[in-house]
Amino acid sequence: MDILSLLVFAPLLAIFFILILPHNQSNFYKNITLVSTSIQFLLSLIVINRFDFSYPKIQLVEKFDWITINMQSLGYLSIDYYLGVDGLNLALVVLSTFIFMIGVVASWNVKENAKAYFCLYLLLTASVIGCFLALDLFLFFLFFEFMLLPMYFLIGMWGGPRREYAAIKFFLYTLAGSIFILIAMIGLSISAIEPLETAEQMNLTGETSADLIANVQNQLQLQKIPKKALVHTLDILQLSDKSNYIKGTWLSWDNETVLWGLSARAIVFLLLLIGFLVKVPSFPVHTWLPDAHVEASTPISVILASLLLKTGSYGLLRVAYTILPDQAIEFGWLVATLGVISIIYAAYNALAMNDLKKMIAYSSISHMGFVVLGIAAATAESISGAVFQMVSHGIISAALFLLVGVVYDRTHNRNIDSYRGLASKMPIYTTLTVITFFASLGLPGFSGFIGEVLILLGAFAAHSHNGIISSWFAVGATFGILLSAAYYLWTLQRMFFGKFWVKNGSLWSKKLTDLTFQERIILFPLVFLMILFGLFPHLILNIVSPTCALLADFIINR
Amino acid sequence: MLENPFQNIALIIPEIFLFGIFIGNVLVDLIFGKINKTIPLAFGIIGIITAIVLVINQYHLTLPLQPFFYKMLYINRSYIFIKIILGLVSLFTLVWINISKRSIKLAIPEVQGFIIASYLGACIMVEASHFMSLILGLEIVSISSYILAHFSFNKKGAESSLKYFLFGAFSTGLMIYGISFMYGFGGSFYFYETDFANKLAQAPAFFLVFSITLFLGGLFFKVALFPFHIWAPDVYEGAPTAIVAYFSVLPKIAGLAVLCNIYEVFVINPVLQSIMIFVLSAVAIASILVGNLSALWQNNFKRMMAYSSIAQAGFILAAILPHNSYSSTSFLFYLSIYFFMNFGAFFMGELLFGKQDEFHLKQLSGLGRRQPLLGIMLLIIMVSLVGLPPTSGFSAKFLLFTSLYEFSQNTNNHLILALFLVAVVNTVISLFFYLKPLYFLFLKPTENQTLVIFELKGKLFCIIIVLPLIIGFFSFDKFVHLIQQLNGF
Repeated sequence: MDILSLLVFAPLLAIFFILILPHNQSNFYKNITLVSTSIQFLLSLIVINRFDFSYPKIQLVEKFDWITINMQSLGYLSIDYYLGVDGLNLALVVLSTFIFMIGVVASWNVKENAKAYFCLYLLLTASVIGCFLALDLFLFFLFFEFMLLPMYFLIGMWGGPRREYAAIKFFLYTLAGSIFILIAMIGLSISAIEPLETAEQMNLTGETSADLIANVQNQLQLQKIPKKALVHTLDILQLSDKSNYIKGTWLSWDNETVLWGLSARAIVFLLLLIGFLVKVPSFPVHTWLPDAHVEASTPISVILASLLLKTGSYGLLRVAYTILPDQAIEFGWLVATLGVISIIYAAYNALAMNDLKKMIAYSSISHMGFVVLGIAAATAESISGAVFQMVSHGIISAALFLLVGVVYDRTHNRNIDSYRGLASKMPIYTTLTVITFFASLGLPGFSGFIGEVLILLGAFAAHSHNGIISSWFAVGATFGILLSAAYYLWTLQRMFFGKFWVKNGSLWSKKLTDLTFQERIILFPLVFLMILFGLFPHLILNIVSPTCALLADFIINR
Repeated sequence: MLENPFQNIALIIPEIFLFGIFIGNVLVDLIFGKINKTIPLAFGIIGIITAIVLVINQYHLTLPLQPFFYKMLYINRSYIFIKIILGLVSLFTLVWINISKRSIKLAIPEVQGFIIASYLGACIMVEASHFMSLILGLEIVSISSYILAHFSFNKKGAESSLKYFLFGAFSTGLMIYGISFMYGFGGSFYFYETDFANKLAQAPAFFLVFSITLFLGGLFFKVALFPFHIWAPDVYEGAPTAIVAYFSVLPKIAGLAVLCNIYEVFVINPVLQSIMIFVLSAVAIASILVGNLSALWQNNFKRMMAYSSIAQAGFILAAILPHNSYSSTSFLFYLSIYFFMNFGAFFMGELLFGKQDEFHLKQLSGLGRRQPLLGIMLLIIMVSLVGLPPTSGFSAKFLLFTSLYEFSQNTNNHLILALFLVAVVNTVISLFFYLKPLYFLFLKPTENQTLVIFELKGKLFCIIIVLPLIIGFFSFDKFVHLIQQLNGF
């Protein structure tokens, strides 16, 4: 078992320990979970250490045959256990291990059903990280879908008053999305082949494997390979190669079959797009997110906002854009439109919210809209910006939800209009909130700024660069920054500045104490990272940009 | 020209043996029943196990699709496979009624006898290649089922048994009416002959469709597919749980196997093929939709599972359509997984609901927190029924969907594509109701404080049922390979 597998499956060992521990030792559950997530964090740092920054393609590959189904007259279907890192996922993997560690500390006070809570939490850890690392579509889908179950129970069992409704809504929306991905996956699974394994079936030999691949692909195009010898694949990298597609299948690049007015490749792209946009989430499939956030407990909100949403946008890049670059250009306008609508519409919604957590949930949607726009523009800068924004939003939204958790823990009330002038009562809390709000609205010097600027630069340049989207989209998105400044500053003014006043007077003012030690040790590192990545963006961009440039190149030249 | 019937005896040994233990069961009860109650019960279980061994033994002597007994019956490797599954269903039911406290009044030789008889009937159904032998097998299964449905000995049981009987008798009537037309046009009762299908296809279009629909109607009734599904929820609600689990699997598997055989015969003629594809895909779409959408509104666990099994039967029916060796693999795979899922769901239902008569989902409130092991097992079964990874339900659906997609791509048949899409999208609809028991188990606070006590053997039985649902995902190529090996694909 190599380091990446260890990274994914270490939590399972921890689950085993938690399960065998007797009930009266329940205090140890969180310790075990913390140790497990810390080990994962260290492992992810080792991965960075081993990572070659100048090489833009997949590294540290772990690839084994997992399932090979004999499909009889249709050939074979080979599903690999295939993990690897490159610029797209490495930063996200490190972010996830870090946030999961923070999340354990934030759930330090979970008492009720602690055993189940931490088991589910660890399962979630494994599936999120597995989802980021998987390079076989089947494996990716397995992790992508499996994370719904622990999340359903984590929201549904430890959430707020309407938790059941929120949990089932979350599950139904995201499952509907996954089903679209499943349809696409089934289509892809019998449309493309793995050349080397096909060569093995045909008993071909070649000087080098490159020769062999070229030979097989050539024969495939001439339709000389018997159907029984075809080895179908779900390997994302093989699926991105157009000469691996079998002639005559709906999804081959030159197929002209039209189903309901669209080519089959367009349909598959749209299916993947909807599937991933539900998870991002983007307008018009975003409505599950505010509900889920409002009802979920603080640590679960943190995980949801900073990691689960990223699996959606990451999937868009890794799966949809890598496998169907031709359609990505065709439908760039659609993706960008949805992104811009999300930015502005969600920002207006955030303005109108009185519940602080709901406001932050909508701001999350708005900021994920930038990621979608950056992906749509598909230039080197905008994709790098999108990945940077994913990481930066991961850090910032984690901090935002933790900050909401601070007041909520004290008073069980999150309404903005219940508080005024908190600055005088909770100075450190206020300072951290101000910094985080500014980082989130994209003030220069904070990480949020870098991501948004890169995306907007890329989106402006897209018009002259690859012509996918017009610069008006970027103009629209800029308006979104303005709005985010509006809702954040307005909230700051209403909640934190002015004379101290709270709704329940003396009762609450006693409870409203400044940050505890435990809250500080999770908030300070996050704030530090916002500033660090804002001042030294190359720390992330060095990892991200070579791969993103390669992807942008691949999309234009397809 | 008469052949010597005894030369075929070897091919029918398991059936003869089953008949023997059916009679023996009565005798043993008469002789030993007064002395010791366990002797007749042990006799039944040992008998079924021996019958399964005899069926497995048939692998040694069969050739591909071999006729025997004047072509009244056919046998090939996949029939043997299906017979093994049917045997396991009967065996599991017998084990269940012996280990579960709630089913204790079912642990009597009478129930055992009818289960053995219906296994015998199902075997004949699967192997039938003559309309008479088909009807014979079908009726043995049906009559035993009508009686078994009554064994809860209460008003509801009587009602469900009578409903089942009336519907069943009516649909058998329709089926025989259809067969009489088909005999008229095809000129033979031997539906396996190529001549039969080709002659039948020359019949006037109206009568052709009419007779085929009538004939299929009887089978749809056995399988509980769309237009003939209405009996299922009422019967499932009234009959004892162990028997319901049995109903939801054994006649279904046998009926679907017969449908598969008939389809295989008819598909050689293009006219019949187009009719069959149209009828079967339309019925599959309707069953999946009706089953899932009706299940959404149920609050009774058994009724919900009844509708769910209607939808599941629609999925299995869809697996028949592509008609190649890959789709046969997916058909048999789904069939075997369906057995474990459905059986497991009902067994868990009986354990969790304990002594209550009503299987109202509310009664599950908070039980999952007190019985985490059973809760997790029901979770696995439900997730598998939805068809999510990492469970065998997903593998089964994955095989089914790929074969359907390939078929619609190959034939450019939009009805099949629609079936594929309906099947996939229904996974989301079904999630909503399959989550309901889990919602009550884990998310709702405890309402009734009566502690349900679970015995070790019950838990063990659960684990035996649930294990294939996990293994079937992580090494599902091995499962597929096993099925292909056994069936000689």
